[in-house]
Amino acid sequence: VKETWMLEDRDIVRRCQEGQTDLMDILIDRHQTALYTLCRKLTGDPSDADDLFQDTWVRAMRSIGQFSGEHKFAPWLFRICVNRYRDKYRKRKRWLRRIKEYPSAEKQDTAMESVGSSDSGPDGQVIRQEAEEMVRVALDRLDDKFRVPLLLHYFRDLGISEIAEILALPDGTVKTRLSRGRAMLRDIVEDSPYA
Amino acid sequence: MHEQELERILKSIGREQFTPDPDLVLRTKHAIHQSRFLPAMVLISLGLQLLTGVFALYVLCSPDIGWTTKAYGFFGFSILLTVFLLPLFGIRDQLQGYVAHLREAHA
Repeated sequence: VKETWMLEDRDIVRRCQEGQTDLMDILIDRHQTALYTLCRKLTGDPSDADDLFQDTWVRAMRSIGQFSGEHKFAPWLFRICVNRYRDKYRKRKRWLRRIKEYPSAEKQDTAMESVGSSDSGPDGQVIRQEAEEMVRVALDRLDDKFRVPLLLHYFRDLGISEIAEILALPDGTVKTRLSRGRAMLRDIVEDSPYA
Repeated sequence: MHEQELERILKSIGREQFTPDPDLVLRTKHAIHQSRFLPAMVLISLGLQLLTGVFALYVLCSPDIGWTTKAYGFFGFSILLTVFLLPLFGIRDQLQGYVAHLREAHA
């Protein structure tokens, strides 16, 4: 068991391709947190994230023969995950986003209370938390075309080329979408009545 | 909001990690091992349907078999077809139902 744990992802995939599919369990153990985090960030819902997580692994297992080994395993897995999300969950998310555009009464009250407080101490902490919440809401309202590259970029510090590989886009398009996404995010936050 | 502030918040959101429920991981491993047999199950099911279809056609076209027997045969064939088609198209629903049942039992 120890010996197989020492193996690199690439070697495990190669063995899976040769028929040792039981070794897939090691890949699941290694990448479970990273993949589940991506699923949660994409869907924003624990139940959908569970389904997407399971679906991604089953798809990965089915298409394990297509993994060439030239690239890392994680981006390949994330690509399957993003594609599954695009196919299955994006339409549902649009509905959710419309609902989320309206902050809850509790959040509105907290935001109003924090207006005008100082930037340091407990009040500063509240402002920072509120600012973070505003960015979260803005991020959620962003179109997936811009939201997904942003999520991938700030999630595990993925580089432009890795994001381009995952989304099957040219590097230049990813750069443009990241920069436009940030600008749109800033606009949404600044247009927010509690900014 | 300053650009640096936005960058800091985005990095902070990006650092957040979520750990899957151990049960979910276990179910996923189980689903993967089961999915290996899915193509074989589909092939067997299709093969059986083909055999049943050929047999039904033979019964229908045979002049030696009376119409009452044919009617009974047709009735039996439709039951058989339902029995074979249900697992073929309902496999995913069944699995989802099983997962939902497990979740409820765990809750």
